[in-house]
Amino acid sequence: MNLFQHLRTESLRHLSRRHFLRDCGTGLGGLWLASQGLASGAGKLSISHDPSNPLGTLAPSFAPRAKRVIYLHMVGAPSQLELFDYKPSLAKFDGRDCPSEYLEGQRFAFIQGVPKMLGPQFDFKQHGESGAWVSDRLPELAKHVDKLCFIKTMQTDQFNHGPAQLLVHTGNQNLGYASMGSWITWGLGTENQNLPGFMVLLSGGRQPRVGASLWGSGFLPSVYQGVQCRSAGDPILNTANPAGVDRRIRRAALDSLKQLNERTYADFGDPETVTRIAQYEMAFRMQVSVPEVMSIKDEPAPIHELYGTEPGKESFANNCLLARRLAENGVRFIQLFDWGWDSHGSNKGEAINHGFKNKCRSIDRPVAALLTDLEQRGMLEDTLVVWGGEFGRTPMQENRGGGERNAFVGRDHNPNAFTLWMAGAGVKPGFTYGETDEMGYLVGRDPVHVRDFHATLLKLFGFDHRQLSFPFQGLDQKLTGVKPARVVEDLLT
Amino acid sequence: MLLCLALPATAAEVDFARDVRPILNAHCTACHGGVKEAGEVSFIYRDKALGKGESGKTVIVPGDPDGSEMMRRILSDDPDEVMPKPEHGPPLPGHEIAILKQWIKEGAEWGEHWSFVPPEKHPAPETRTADWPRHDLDHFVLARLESEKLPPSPQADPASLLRRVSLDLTGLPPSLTDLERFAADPSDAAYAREVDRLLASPRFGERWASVWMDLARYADSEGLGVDGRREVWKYRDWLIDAFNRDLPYDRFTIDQLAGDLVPDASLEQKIATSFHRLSQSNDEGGTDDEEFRVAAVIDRVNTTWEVWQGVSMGCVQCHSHPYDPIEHEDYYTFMAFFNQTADADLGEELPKLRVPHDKARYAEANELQQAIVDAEQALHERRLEIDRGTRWHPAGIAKAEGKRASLTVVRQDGHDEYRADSNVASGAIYTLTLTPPAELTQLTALRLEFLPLDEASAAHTPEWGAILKRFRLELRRPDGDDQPIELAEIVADEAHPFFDPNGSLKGSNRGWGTYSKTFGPRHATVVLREPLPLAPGSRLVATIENGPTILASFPMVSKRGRLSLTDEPAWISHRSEPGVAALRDELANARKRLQAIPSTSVPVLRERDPRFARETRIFERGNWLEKGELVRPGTPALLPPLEIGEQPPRLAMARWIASAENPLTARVAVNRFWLELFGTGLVATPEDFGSAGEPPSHPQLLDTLAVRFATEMRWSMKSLLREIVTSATYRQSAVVRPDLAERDPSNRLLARGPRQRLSAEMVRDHALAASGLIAHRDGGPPVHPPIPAGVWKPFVAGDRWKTPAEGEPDRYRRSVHTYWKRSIPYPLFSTFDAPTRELCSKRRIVSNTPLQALTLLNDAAFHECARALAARMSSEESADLRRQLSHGYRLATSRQASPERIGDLVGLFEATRDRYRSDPGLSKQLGASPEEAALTVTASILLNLDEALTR
Repeated sequence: MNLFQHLRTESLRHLSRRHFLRDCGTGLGGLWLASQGLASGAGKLSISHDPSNPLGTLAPSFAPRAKRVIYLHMVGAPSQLELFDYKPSLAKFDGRDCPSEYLEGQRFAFIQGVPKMLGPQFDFKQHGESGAWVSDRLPELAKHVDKLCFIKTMQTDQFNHGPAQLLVHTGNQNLGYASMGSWITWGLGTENQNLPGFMVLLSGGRQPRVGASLWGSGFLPSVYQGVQCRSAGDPILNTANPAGVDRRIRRAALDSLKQLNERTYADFGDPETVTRIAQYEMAFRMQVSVPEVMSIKDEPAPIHELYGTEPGKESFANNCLLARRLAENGVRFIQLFDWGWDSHGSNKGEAINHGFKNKCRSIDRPVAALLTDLEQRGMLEDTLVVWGGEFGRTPMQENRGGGERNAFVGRDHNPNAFTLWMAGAGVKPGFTYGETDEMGYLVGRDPVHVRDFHATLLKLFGFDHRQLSFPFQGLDQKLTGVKPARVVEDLLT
Repeated sequence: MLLCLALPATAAEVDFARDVRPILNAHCTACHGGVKEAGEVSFIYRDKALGKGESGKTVIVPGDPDGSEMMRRILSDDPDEVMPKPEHGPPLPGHEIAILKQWIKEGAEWGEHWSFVPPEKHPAPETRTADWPRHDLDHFVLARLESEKLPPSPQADPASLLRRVSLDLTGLPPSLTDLERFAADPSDAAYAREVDRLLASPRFGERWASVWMDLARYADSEGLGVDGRREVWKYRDWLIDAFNRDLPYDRFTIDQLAGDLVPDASLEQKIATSFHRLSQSNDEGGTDDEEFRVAAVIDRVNTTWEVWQGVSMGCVQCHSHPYDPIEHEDYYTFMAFFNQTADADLGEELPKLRVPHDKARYAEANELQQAIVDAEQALHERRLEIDRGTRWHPAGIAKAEGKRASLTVVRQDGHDEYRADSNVASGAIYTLTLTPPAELTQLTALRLEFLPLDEASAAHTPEWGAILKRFRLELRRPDGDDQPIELAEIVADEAHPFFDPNGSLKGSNRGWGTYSKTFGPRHATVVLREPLPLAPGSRLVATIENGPTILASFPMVSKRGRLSLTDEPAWISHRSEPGVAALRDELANARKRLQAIPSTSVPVLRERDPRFARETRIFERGNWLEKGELVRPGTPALLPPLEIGEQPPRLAMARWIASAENPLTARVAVNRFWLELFGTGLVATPEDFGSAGEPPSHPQLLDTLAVRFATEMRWSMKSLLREIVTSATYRQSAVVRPDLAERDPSNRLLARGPRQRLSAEMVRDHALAASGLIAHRDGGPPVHPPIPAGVWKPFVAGDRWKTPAEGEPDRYRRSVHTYWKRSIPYPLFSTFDAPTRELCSKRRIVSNTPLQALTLLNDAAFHECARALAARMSSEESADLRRQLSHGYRLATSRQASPERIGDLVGLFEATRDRYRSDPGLSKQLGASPEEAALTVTASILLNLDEALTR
């Protein structure tokens, strides 16, 4: 008997535990859930994976515009006022007391008393046919503005890093919720069964502070959590055999294991045993495919030149090149975190006039290269690139402890408005949505809340955010949460 | 298709909870329920459902289906009229309409959801097969099987059974001696002895502590922004010990929720309250301590309900429960029980309890701590008595000067107050020139009050507090000369302040104050060394040095305050009263003796002084900054009433939960143990016993066990476990018969025994045990076993993971002792489905992934186990290869290897050995000889067997 065929029929007949919880046609929960969609066709989706192949590709509800995403998160929240949101009026107010209407009813993380306004710290110019403003900190990226779709009016509810990062990635400021990558991988599976569907790359020398929760699967099955790749050692934990075990020996050992496990299946008839056999086979394939795809050594010199990569180092540039390789190899959700953008001005590294400049330099060329490279390979058509942080920064200079200006220039956290851009699959190129007020502090028109962004992202992948849900803690959990979210149709092609 | 577990009655009378509520929940309550009441119609309560909607028409008329608007709308074929609206859902199927009709006709009686009705003990049903059941519980299972025409499975073979029960009860596989003993005599009596042995093992508590730690969201780090280390392992040791000494579940419950309030509480009972200090805290710069204190209190409410009541309260934070009769307000009345503890998201994690390393000294430490509390209380009461007899004269403020702040003087309620502008920096110094009233001719003490800017709102939404870094007083004579006044002490307005207020005499960043948030006016009394004569026209100069900035951004400065003066001699004279002197000595002595006991500490629950109680108010739409009505502590009306009486409210609530009258507590507990043993609970949704959860597969069995657990078994968890694991149901073979694979793939009917993958902790402990590496201990600080390179990247740079060298016992401790950091989960545990324990987790969803395979095959720690197992196979057996392989197979799976399996293993060994012989370079990396290398590869495969990962 072919065990895999057997399992397939088995799996069609059986429901996985997860599926059982969601779709059980009996019992009150089942009935309630049924009313929410299955039966009506109007409510939520039924997502069920073959248990032996939980990452197998599924079709979304409607034609997707994006097949995969490369998400670049600048951890710490980069200053929109020094990069994309040009505010000439703010320059005029530089050094003056902050108007009181900006302070009333606002909560700040670090600002005390009456702070001074701080004008843009760098020169801006318009670029491309779209005429988008970009500061002189990102000269390479500025050449690509006609590919970018800017949202100048992103808004969040959270003004501390941990909760705000969680909100961006999981739709909830608390720990324990499923990340966007998990939602999308759960909903769509992935295209390459030899690689995880959701992979995470870190740079900047530190982890984001809430760590793995940003790519956790929360209440979704753990197979959909992001797999963190490492810059040193095995790119994915435990992909290398122990010393003294080569591939031939591993194959022989796994053949034996398979044979023994098949005997166990014959004894006990437990379908989990068959799933386990399949997982060991995928592990064996991953041992080859992961190191291959994660090795940038053999990329041609012009590519290294383009990105500014140095094999063997941990860098944002290397991660951008890796991101392209993963995208090329069918990974669904590629998440980059780059640490070090929290420009409070409380020390040199965190100063807009020092550390911030270095951060800009470290991303400018790689991000531009990624866009160039995706385009020249025809992949920008169906790959979505997103760049952003967890909130924005204030037009006021930070004055920690109530003091005056010092040598290091910094800005505080601003949840009211920040810039995020997208490029590629399904989004309008050379387009800007929303406008902040004169000072770049509040939204002037067309706000886009994080949950609106999530709704839009899901739409690009072929899902209605109201339908992609999972029951947990008595609620139908959604990436967009319980408050209404809207798809920003204006952004879409 | 799955079996239908809750067949609705057809001919018999309609039962609301069983037949009607599910239909309403499925089609109606989303719009007409606890969240939304579209058209002013709701189906949660009977009086509302029998009322009139917005249209003025009566929704349900008992006895008259045709006169009920509900039926008219359901049956309507007008798309604008019909319910549910076409865009919301399909029309109701005919049989459901029939049920609704019949129900209204029969009077539209309402009935409570099953789990909110007290459980009853049911007589064991008759079964046709008489010789299969061993316990009452088997009768319930068998009766159901017989009604489905399914036979139960035979008893598992002795090795499989002993493996199952050993892993279930202790988390460890049986030893070969245990297997031999039981194989030789697999009688019922022998099985009962094995079960007793396992229940008495110290390893029992370690296994069940792991389960409870998911519920308790136990971690050795504080979570959120910084996720620094948190010293809390004595709670884990308490938990292990509580399971080992079979602490009855009711006391186990009360001690964790309110052990500090139990009269004459032991140190253990106080440690138990650490349970609710395991909520996360946030030390990230710029975070609001009150926001995260509130978040912790909310987490305590949610966790209490999820752990003990199996009800999700999270949704009620923002609105009434969507399906169950729990009101929005109920959330906050319940929150009031937890809102008076002294902890407040402080960086120091206060209040903490000193716990001796040595358990033998717990009683001594508890007595000393009690002596300290009593002495502090007695001193405090003496001072309150003096205070009541004191006439305080408001001090006029002639001049107020600020350094790093600008001050103004405002007269309010006949009293001068200093006020600082909003932009006052940390460390600001206020110099206040005070004018004593004319009638005051001498000064003995001064009262310094720190006031919130807005007292009314601070009572529920506190303002940032202040620290008095240093206080000085000088006398300015009429000639203008300043004379420093010697101060004796500073007395706080509470008996047990976190920090010694006298720190403010010499300068301290944690002296007297309202650290870190203030809910209302607070004062300190500054006592002079000697009475100070006040000549007419003399002035006093008080200097207030404000405190530091905390959380990198909040200056601990007083923004508003006032001072009063007195000539009451008792403030000075009481200090030399013999009683007071004795109390001071006692205090100093007890503190010294306590300090001398080698100790660690745990954060614990402690009530605030009731005079400074916080107001608990409803949060509008769940937003902690939008406060609504004031509420008093209470429990939801759908459950039995709570009489608080004279008890501390939190203790009353704990006793209410732990009572046999509570319909949920015993059911939820029984279901949890069942879930651990069978892989699925009798209620498949342990997180939801409400009407949106699954109904029980065996309702009478669940209720009978619940009643017996709370009464006959006196809440003994070991008795409950013994009853279940000695049942015929549990002892069945786990073989999935073809008929069962078809009819009942998830084994809800229990026609076979459970077959579960090992939990994350068991996966590691099992490999350590099989290879002989495991090193047991009883309790102790967390350990740091091998962790793959590059994983440990903590946010706090000094936080190190130091792995003991090979051979050191701390490298091979059971997993329950592994250091648990929320932001950096131990990779093996998260790969095998352990939660991160940021929040209460009611069950682990078991996955089966390639990353698990990679871990077991390649992780260095597992490889170490494989090497050790290979060594054990060759050292414990003769040189005969087949005997070595069979020994290894048994160590890894508890079963005897069949000849075919030995054949497979010999084949692997030989092929690998030959390959190593031909490549000595490769061979050397793994073992001294090709045989040793090949045996290691084979041992690794043994540890990867499906059977080795299964119980």
